[in-house]
Amino acid sequence: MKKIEAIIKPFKLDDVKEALTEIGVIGMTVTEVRGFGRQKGHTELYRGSEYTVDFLPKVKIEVVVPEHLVDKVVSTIVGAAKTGSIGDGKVFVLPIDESIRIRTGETGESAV
Amino acid sequence: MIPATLLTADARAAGTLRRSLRTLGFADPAAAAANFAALTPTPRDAEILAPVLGRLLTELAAAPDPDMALNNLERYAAGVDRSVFFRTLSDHPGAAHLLARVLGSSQFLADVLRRHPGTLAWLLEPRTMRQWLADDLAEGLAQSLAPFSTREARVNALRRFKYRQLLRIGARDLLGDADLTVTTEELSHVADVCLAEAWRMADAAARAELGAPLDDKGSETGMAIIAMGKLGGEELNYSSDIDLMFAYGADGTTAGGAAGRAENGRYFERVCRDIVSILEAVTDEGYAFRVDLRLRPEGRMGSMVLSLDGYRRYYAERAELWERQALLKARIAAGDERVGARFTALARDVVYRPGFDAGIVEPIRRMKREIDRALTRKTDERENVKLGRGGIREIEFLVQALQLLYGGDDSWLRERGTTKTIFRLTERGYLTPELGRALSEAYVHLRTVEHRLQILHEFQTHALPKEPLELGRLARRLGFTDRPALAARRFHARHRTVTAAVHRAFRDFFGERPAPVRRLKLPSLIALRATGFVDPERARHNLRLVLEGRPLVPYAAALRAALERLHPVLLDALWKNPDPDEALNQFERFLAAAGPRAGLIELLADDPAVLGGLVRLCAGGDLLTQLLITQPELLTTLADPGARAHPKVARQFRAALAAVFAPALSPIERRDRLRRLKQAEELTVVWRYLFGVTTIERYSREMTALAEATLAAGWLLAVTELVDRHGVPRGADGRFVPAVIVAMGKLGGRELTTGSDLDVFVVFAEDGVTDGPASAVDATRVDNHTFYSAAVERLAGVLGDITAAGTAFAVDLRLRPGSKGSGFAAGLGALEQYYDEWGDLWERQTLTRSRIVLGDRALARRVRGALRQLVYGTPLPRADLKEIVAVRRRMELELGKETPGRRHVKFGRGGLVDVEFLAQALQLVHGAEHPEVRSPGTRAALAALARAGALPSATANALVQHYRFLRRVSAALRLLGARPADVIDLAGPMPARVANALDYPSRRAFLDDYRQRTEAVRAMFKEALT
Repeated sequence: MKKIEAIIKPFKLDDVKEALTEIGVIGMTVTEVRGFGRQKGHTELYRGSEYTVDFLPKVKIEVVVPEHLVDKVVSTIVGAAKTGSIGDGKVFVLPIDESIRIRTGETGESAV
Repeated sequence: MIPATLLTADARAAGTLRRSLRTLGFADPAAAAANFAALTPTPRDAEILAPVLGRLLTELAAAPDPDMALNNLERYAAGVDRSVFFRTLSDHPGAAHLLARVLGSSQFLADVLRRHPGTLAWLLEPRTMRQWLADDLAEGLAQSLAPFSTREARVNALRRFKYRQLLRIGARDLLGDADLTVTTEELSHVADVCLAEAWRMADAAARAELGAPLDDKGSETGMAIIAMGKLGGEELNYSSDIDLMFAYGADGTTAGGAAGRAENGRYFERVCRDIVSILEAVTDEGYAFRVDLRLRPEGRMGSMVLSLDGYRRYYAERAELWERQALLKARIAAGDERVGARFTALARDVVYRPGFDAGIVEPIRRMKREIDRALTRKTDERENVKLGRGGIREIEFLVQALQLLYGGDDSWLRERGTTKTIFRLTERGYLTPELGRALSEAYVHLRTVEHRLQILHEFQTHALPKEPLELGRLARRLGFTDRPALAARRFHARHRTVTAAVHRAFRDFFGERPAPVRRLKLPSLIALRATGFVDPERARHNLRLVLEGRPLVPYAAALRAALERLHPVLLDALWKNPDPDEALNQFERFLAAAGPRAGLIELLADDPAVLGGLVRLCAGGDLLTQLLITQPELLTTLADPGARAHPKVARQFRAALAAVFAPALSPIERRDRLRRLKQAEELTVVWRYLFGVTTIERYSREMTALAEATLAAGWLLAVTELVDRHGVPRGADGRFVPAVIVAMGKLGGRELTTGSDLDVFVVFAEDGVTDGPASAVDATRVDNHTFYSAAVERLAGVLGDITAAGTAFAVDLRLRPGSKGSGFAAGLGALEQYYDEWGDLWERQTLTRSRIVLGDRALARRVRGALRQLVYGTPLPRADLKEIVAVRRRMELELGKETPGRRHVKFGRGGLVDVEFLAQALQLVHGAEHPEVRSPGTRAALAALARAGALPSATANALVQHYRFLRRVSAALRLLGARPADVIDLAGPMPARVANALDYPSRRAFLDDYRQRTEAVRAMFKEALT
């Protein structure tokens, strides 16, 4: 089991959600976050006024999937979230030691 | 201002809060106070919002409807993470303004934003909030659909794309970043790309079931989607239905698929139904567009799709005036291009009949009377923006009537958009400049009102609200900043002035006038033929128009005496001309445009030398006549024989333009003066070329020198205005930070001709800030990047904006490094970094033509060095030539679009670009080793390549000769007014006229030579680059 954590542009959330549903991933956790990567520090001109790019609104998606689905889920997220411009986001894959469904006490993949 | 503490404080403070909100302009302060409370449900929320609260309140109060803005803001916040949202509001300079404006103007856009809250962050990206061209939108849609394979998911993604774009376009519209033309164009392009996608999906599905549709010879046939109405004119509203018609190539049966075979008619009907359902179906994500098919032959009773033959038969028998009027706007929006081109040709023949179509004057008058009657019946509809008195329909009707009357002969009038058509009708003299301007302004006003009415709820309403508060809110959506009651009164006054003027024009225009009292005697057809007119009927008709005025566009009575004196002098001048037919055509246009300028006609009647020159000019170039039509007073420039005989150099042009800087002129006066001076100079430059005083090279050099002088004057104007506001840009050591202007393209290569854009970019030395203005109080210091970016933007406006005096030069900034990012100027460091990291071969290739035309010498040396290093630092491996050849191939297909009846001198096979690409590619290969080949000019580069042994000298010589020929053809086309530029339409009059201008004995001889030369060029291109 792995946890896939993706930080994406907020407007891409609907696309990513729909693309994940299309490949059969139904559960996910979505959080609105603020963050920055390589964009930080440079200045941008927005409609004539200049501002320093600092924290930008992003969306974090977390999905836990069985090992064999990891590649497919990652490529689906990357495909759906990509715009080709700076700030498209990142995907991280983390190991999961254990998972437990609270209601039933089931563990392992059946609890996901 | 309301202190933030009020939001969290006790009941005693609530009263104060309500009073403050009322003062700020909230109509329902109690509800607003409740909304504020709901906006920050916890003390923590209030704390995060506190820093931006003051700004937010100011923005909300300035919104067209503050109550609605706040209410929508609260509902939006309820659906997102408040801490992220509030911090975005305080961090981002544009967030509060954008939200207040959008949420306070449009309930419909507010709902869209609430359904897709993530779109806000996208709207706050600089890259989002610019104009998206059709290509950008197509790319955006493709990207949105790429992750999905099932039909359902793709249909949903299409809807998300549409709503996202509506938000972007609506926001730019409401913020004033895009004018009406851009807004309606972008909305139309969104519909176009969605249509194209719906067509691809529907066609693929039908193909899988029934196989490809085949004609009776067994080759595949396709279908074109024809946009009509507002979509056809690229003038779509937010809530317009899209008017469509469908046409397929030929009857036959399909090749057969999973579900057998079918007649083509059935196949395409299936595709059409599917397209409509893909667009109209309401899914979880809403709908894409509502489709209206009622403009098709037989309306609701007719079949959904017809073959080209079907359309031809129907229109041949049935085309009524309203159908011809509707077809004026027909445009191929998507589908099979070949079928589309054939439909366009067919529609053109239905709409435009050769010659002046007098037969339709009466039906037009009849239709106009019907419009009047409909108005008298429904008195409450008078204030209807579209159908009411002085409304949109009256303008459109007037414009379309003139198109139908005169578009048969004058193809320049065959335009779809209303504002563009008004502009062209004015250019050609069918509308007086005053009337043209008034109609165009009225149209923009009325369409903007229509937009602002409809953007509220996305309803298709055209009625002004009766309730005063609602009318006030409409006025505020339109940009009146007063309190609602006053805004409503001021709007109403303006609206009444506009509609009254439109209605007056409409009434006058169609009013029936008595025929002229006394007719002048015209020469007989026999006499005209004997004196060299090839088409005496046409000549007689033109003479009548010259002396009596055009139907619906008569002269002022005061001109008659002058015209009577002009008559014999004109005939005399025409008989001496080698092409009297064309001379008379153009002269008629010129005179019609000069309109009521009696002084001018008197000048012509009294000075045979000027008239003779003008007639000669009329036969030689549409473009010059065009210049004179827009500014007849330029004619006096040509009265001086000295100005006509001697080519000028840069210094003389600079001296001529110096008058722009005369003291005590306003910036606007300076801009207009720059335009007029430049146009007067250009007129003499072109005159010298046209009359053989200069060669094509000398002509280009003169144009280039004129452009550089104009650029220098424009840059000085742009920079001065900014220095007044921000001070002088300084570096870290306090020294002035200079900039240089780098020219590319034709300007870089000194190959400019009339009508060329100026491709430029600006490089400044180093970062830093301006030192603030000497006097102004409200001014601010900005950093050097902002300063010079603003200067470039201003430069583009100073030279390119179309003002009452026309335009000087269109400035094209698309070739600048990193053109899609923000900012128009680059620091030297950023420039090098950009090309190192991002630049591709195409950009490197365009830099072969770079030449520094203006600016600080020391910096120029550094920039030149940097550019040389970028272009010629490492030789281009010959293997990479493939890429250049591929780009060339795409240009030929996508921009050249040659057909058996159409040649493109620039992009076509063996055209100018073949020679230019060949030279540039070899420069990139050999420039590293042979510095002498690094010339921005094509001819010089070819010669140097031959000397360096990179090209056989026979080939180089031949190429130079062919290039020169092609440039002369291109210049002749431009001067003769071919539209679009650089296109030779073999069926039209251009080949013969170019042949004449280039001294070929016949049209045939010219075309043969053209074919041989382009074939030779293409052969050399292939040999050199593969």
